[in-house]
Amino acid sequence: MKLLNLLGASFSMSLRRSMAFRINLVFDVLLAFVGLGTAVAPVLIVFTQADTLAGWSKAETLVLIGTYQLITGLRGTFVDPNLSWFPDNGIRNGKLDSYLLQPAPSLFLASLSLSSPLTLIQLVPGLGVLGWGIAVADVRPGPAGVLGYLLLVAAALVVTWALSVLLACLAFWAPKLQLDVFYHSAWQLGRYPTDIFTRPLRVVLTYVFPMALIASVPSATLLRGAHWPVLLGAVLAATVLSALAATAWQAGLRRYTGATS
Amino acid sequence: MTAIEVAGLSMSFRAPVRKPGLRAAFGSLVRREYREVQALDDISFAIAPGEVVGFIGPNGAGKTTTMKILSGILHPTGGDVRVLESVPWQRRAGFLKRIAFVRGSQPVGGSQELTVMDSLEYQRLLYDVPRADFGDTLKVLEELLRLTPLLERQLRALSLGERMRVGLALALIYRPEVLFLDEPTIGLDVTAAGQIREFAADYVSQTGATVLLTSHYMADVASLCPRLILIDRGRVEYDGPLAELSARLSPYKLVRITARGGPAPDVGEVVESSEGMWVLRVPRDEVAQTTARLLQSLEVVDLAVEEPPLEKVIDRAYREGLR
Repeated sequence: MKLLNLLGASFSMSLRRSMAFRINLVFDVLLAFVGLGTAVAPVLIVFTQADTLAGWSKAETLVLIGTYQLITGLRGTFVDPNLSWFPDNGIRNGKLDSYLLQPAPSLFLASLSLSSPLTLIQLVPGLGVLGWGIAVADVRPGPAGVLGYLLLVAAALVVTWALSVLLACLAFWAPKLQLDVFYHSAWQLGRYPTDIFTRPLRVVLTYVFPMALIASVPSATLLRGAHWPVLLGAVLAATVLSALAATAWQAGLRRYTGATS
Repeated sequence: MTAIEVAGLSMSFRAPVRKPGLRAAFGSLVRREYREVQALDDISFAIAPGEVVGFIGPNGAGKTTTMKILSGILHPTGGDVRVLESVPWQRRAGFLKRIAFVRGSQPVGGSQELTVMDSLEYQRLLYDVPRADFGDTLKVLEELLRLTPLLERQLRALSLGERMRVGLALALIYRPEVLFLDEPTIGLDVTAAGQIREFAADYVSQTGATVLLTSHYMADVASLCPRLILIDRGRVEYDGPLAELSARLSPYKLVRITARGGPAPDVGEVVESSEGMWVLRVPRDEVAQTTARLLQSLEVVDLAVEEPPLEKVIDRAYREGLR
């Protein structure tokens, strides 16, 4: 309960803070539309020549792009302000020291206590494309598909958070290593159906660096129906990755020797 | 009952080292060498509730590292520590609500665009301070720290002195019982530093808080701390009353003498002189004898025996080593 209160309070504070940067709002909206445009345009071009792309229809691909945009927007709002470029932003400026002094779980404070509410604006075009995809689909999603979709989106968010935490934890072992560029590039792979990749890459994106869970799996579930093994697999992946993230965090803190003197 | 108990505390870490030059740099790719740095070496002390203790030592002595361990930020590599009967690095919420660590170099963390009042409200929520207590404490802090004009200002727009006042308010709004103050007056002008000292003294007398204070300004230590712990190279070199430190570190006293006419005094070592006034450095056990001789041989107008200034004694101890 306290964590929810804190989350609410910090979101409200971030909102107050972001009012100081109105110009950012304009750029965030602009960036969201440009980003989405570059994702949607090639897809539309491809579908003028073909009916399916690696087994994905136009409607399914649009749902996937919309879902990808939604999760990217939520990541940008709640996770990135805390964990991106963690060695510099989180450790060297002393933020971690102050989190460690506060009477709340340090992992929660370090990974979720800041947010960037204006980034939520990215959800609007994302929802638009998602709605567009659903509208042009041959069949309407059934209740099981919708419930399965929501569950998988929740699991995808947890996976996103856990992967970011694991990446941030590297800072405790290799403080100079900043893999954010690599992570953000790999993240881009999530906006395509996993089926278009060759088998080895598909295996990596499903089991090693599970970008498939971010958009491909939820989108397929929404329009093609829910399958128990898929839902269970996603929940399991989210649980295991979260546990791994929490363990890595605790192990990292034991090694931590301070950022400032 | 002790508020802080430290026994055999050690902290070491491995720091990579290599010789200068390109060859050594390439060599370190294959074989990396480390040196064990002993930041703290078997430190022990105990502090009773309500005690105000100065924690001094040269740069790199291990003061901040000790404070970080006592406040739970760092795990030590050895030894036993209890603060308010808790092991700090377990960081239990109940423990963290009873301590505060205020650093002069970073008095206020968090989002700089927020106002002071927003930040205080967040602290209230974070530390579960009941609203009534929050209001009462805020009233006291507003008065002691002259906070009222700052409440609606953004953190980023505060001056250094104001930031320190706000940093203290944020740390004290939940009424911690143990306060770690790390260089609270660093960078402040004489007036602002004086105000912080005055506040700390008032706060301690009103709340009975236990305080461990580090500072390079002896004025802070001399005005607030009846007891000093001096560490150097990770070891405790002195733990006792402030007055005795001076006697131990400096086997001399200063005799300040003003005399009418006559030759310069020929006893002790003259460390300062101006027309008709001399300051002599005299071994402690010869002070009485020297004073008698001076009174006999000169037409003395004024004579005073003084402890050497703490600042100078400490400076010499740091430069020449304590062992």
